[in-house]
Amino acid sequence: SMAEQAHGSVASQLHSSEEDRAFDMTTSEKVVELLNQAALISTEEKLIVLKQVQELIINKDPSLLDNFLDEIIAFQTDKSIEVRKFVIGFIEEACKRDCELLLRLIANLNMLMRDESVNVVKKAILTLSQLYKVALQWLVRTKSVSDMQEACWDMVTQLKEDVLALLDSDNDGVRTYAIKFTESLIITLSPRTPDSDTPKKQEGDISLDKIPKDHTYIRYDTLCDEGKLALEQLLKFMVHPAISSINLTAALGSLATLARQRPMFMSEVVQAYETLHANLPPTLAKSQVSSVRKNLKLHLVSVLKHPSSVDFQGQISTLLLDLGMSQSEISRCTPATVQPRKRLHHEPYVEGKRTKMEATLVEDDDDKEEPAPVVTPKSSSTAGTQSSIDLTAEFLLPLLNPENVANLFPYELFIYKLLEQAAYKSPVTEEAPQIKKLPEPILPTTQPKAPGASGRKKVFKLADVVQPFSEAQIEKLANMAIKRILQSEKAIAQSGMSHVRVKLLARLVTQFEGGKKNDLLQFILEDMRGRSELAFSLLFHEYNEYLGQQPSGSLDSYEHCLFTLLSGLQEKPEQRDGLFTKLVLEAPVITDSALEVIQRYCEDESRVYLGMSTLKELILKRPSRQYQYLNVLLNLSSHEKEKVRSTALSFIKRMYEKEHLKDCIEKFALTYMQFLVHPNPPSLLFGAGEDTEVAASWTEETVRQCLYLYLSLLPINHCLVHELAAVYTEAIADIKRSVLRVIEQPIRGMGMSSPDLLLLVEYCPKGAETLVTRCLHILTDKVPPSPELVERVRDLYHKRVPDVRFLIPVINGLEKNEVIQALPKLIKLNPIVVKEVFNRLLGTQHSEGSPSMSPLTPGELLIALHNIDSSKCDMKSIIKATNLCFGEKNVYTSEVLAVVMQQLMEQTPLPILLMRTVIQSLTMYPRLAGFVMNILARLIHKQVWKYPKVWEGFVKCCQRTKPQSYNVLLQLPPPQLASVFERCPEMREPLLQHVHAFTPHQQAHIPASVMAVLEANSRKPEPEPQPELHHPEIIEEREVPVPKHISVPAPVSQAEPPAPAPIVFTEPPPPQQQQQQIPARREEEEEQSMEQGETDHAALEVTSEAALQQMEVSEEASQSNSISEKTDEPMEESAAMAVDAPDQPKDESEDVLPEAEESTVD
Amino acid sequence: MSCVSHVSLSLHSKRGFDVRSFGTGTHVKLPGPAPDKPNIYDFKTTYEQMYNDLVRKDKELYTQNGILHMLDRNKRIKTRPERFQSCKEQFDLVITCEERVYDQVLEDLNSREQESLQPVHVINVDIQDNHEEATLGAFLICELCQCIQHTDDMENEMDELLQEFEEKSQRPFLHTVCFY
Repeated sequence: SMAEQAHGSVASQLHSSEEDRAFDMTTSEKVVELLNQAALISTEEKLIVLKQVQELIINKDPSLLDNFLDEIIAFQTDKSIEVRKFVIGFIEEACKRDCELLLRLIANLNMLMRDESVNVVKKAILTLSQLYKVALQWLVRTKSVSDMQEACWDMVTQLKEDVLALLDSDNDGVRTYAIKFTESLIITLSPRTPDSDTPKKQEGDISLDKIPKDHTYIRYDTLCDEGKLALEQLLKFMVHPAISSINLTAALGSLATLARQRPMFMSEVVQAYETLHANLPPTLAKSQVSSVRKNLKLHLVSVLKHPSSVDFQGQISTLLLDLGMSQSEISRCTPATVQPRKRLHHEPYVEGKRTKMEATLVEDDDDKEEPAPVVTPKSSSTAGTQSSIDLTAEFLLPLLNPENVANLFPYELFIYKLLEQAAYKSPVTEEAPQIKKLPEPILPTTQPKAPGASGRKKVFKLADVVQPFSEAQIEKLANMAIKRILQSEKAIAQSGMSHVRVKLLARLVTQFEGGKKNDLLQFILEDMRGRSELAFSLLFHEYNEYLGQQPSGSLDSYEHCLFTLLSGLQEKPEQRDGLFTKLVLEAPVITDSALEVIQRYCEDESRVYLGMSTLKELILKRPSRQYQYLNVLLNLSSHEKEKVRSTALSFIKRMYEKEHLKDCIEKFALTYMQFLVHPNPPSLLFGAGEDTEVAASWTEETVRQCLYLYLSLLPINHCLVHELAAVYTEAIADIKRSVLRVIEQPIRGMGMSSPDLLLLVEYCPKGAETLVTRCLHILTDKVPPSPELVERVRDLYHKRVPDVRFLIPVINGLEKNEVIQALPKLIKLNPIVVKEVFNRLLGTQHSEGSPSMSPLTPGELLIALHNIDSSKCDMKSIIKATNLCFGEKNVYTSEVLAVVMQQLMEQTPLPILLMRTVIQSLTMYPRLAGFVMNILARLIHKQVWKYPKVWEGFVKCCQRTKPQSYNVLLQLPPPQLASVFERCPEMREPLLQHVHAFTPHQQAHIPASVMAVLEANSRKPEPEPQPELHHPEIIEEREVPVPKHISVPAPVSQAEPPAPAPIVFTEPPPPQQQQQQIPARREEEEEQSMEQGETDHAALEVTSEAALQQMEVSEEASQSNSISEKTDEPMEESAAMAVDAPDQPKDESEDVLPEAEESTVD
Repeated sequence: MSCVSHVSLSLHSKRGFDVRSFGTGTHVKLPGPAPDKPNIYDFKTTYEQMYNDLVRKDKELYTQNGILHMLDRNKRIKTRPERFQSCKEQFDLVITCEERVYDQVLEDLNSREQESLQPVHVINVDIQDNHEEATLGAFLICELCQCIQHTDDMENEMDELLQEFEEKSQRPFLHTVCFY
């Protein structure tokens, strides 16, 4: 057998993993999470998740049911049949759990009952079988039934009628379900008797016998009638000559069930079986006949086994014999005869009950519980004794249901009869009605025209006693008549004739002009929920009227009706029962004004979802004007209210998947985006009303308005990105800036593997450079660049647009040497951009993503900065760049700096900024002093004085590190020592003192020439530094031999032992050292903010954004005579001078030494 | 798929049907050394136990008539036979291969208390109890299931489909609908 089973294993897996994660969540949170998941996953998983939700909110914590009801019900429009079926099952369970929910959910069931899929309809039928009983029981329990409950029961009743009507469905399966529904309905609407064979599980079910006859709302008699009628329908259905074999099988089974559960119908059932056996439908195939006969046998046996079959045993046995059962088998199935005797005793009771029930049928319009007149309806076997009139009456009576009667007579006749009666009762008062429209149909006034001619008695003439009414009177009377019908709402409802009244009102009012229509509409709107039937009826009649007047008919009246009803609903504050939706979806035509109301409804933040769901239904189910409806939704996608907009966007996104709507949506999105190339925003954006020439300029808001839809489609359809680039290149700067701000989410949504994005990067159109850069930044903001992306950017940079700023986002994907090559250009950029570059390279980005794999270690970066060719970059920029490094104290630890210094010191020629870095390192980490002394000593070996800038720094360093530096100074050759004193005369005396403090032995190691320099005041000639060479590498080391003997013994080892080279500092630096750094930092900051001021874009939060702002500005500047480039140039010149001319005034050379020095010296 | 003695699991794991197989008798009967001496087990016996029992009794015979092979295959699908009447799950379609079984299924389904009113279709395809028939029958049933599975609306198209099959296969089908 093929089983419809849930995929149990999947379910349990999903369930357990869910539980792990949701271990400490509240049920409510769990439900929210599950619902969120459900929106995104495949149907199969969605069902599992939804079933979990159902379990949670119906069984585990029913208090949540109300909260999440709407969310679950929203799935009733899901595209999967299974999901919609789930919703039906959910409705059933929810209503069984809490009957009150019927008020809200019955409308949903109604909607689903009209689903396009038969499988959904079938499920809805099954559920209605259950909920019919639930609803009835609920109402019976309720002492005073509210208007809402009344409306609910009306709908249940209507649904019941609808399903009964499905016995005529075209679909075999649907008919089968309708048969089962009918069976269940008959059981409910007939009394259970002691001989009823009731299944255990249905013992508590409601049935007619449990319905009080004095209930305020539920009418015992009406229900009883309905039950009878249903049985009639079922029996009629069975004798249809072309009934399908499965329908017949189902019906046979239903009859057997009826006979066992309601033995009072035994006679009808057995008769039906007999009839069928004698006239099997001719359309059945041979094998179907065998199937049916087999079934018939089976069911007959089951009926026979019921004790109440006693009266019919003969008939049943005959049938069974015919069907091939042996007499002995039949006897075995026949209940023992003792039983029927007992039963017979109960018979009068049963019989009596039956009589009464049928009698109540007759006393239809009499509310009083009088004993029934003794009409003894006999089964048709006694028909022979009836008169022909009786027979006719019997035939006609069932046909004379109120529905038919209302249809039979035109309303005129009805009204006329009413008026006629009134006329006779009070012929002279105003009340006496006459309607001009109806020319004397009662009494032919022409006939008795000759009074007295025959000499007979004066004939009563109506015309003599009644006067024609004036127009006004007629109008007034008509109004009053209608008003009376309106006001009789309650009374008529109690008599169960509401539907007649509704039909009547609708028919009447459609005939009249203006005033009465408005009255009726107002009346409906006072209680739209309770009077929805009337509303629909009126609307349909208006439409019928229009159709009747074709081809010249006008829709005005219909439109007015629809518009008034919809506006009325739209203006009412709270409406949860979907009446608006129902009205929209069931209206035969949606007129323009109605569409406007729908749009207003959608614009209401509290109803936006319901409104747009309705709109969606229209779009999907009314293809003829689909695009017009879609347009409303599309227009809402740029709505000023966020909630309206985002809901519209999410609906559109779902529709975008539909092939036939896709083009239209896309076209709309692109049209809006293309507005951006106009100099001013089109008036369209300011609402339809104002189509004056708006000369307003673009604002952030208007730009966004043009982009919302486009941007939400972008992640679904990547190739749209090229359109954006095209628009971008043509847009003005303000728009560009706004665009760059809003694309973050969508671009991130596309991801760096998107082929279209990669293509955009590769062919970066002219003018879209900033857009591409922005994209690159967005993509690499949180994750390292992919090799493909790096490759495209590299290509772009090398082959098409050599702007180094492209490289920044992918810098960590580049090769080490590429980065080093790009450094000179990079550090010349805006300080904020440079900062960002360094953040990326040093891994100090604020992002929480994986540690970026920088192609350079921090040490390598700092060294690379020192080695930048001074012809490629100005010194000032390099210094600022190194300052950025020193700013990252966590990265540039003392160990890193020690290694950097070591390596720089070993280079030949010495880098110009070497001593600056040494002094700065020392400032940051004073305990590096020992290490620095070693460096200084080593520099003497490298004849540091040949590099003026370095030499200058060397002296400064010695000055700052005295007295530790004394031993280093003593290692200098005399001319250089003299040069030191030349620069800092105040050093000489302390150094001399220092030497005097040596032991004589130690002093003996000091060469006389050195002593001479120390002692001579200014007697010695100034040892000029070597003539400066721009390329110091030509100076041979041996030109000035170093006095080697000094360096060997460390003469002051006991006083200040030099620190060993790489030292690990774990202690924080002394506090006063930190304070010294602060002013220096501040200077840096001021300098930066000044430059920011130059670029005129000070307020930038994100560095990546800063990067492109800078870019954008310079781009614009290059178009219209640069400002920023001009300010850059002098900087470069001055820096070049600093390098080229070493004998510049002091303030120039200070560049090369740290600013921090000033503060330490003071 | 239901068989008297529940020995055929041939539709299993074929072509992705969601299939369960059942027996309907009171016992599981397997052919014995003579037609009047079948091997009889109750529904509690596992295939493994039957297999071992038959190996012990006459390995030669039961290998030759294919019973051991069949049991071996069955035990890889489930541990023991199931009885349709004891299964409380709801199905869409039940196929039987013998009228007697069809009757038993119908009787069982009709004796259950109705609850959900969910329909289940029952179809009987008579298949003689010999090897060749069984093979042909298996194909026929498999094809039938495939066709049913490919219908958009099974219940609406079932009648016509069965007529076609009847004509094609030249054997009468019994078909009915019951309700859970």
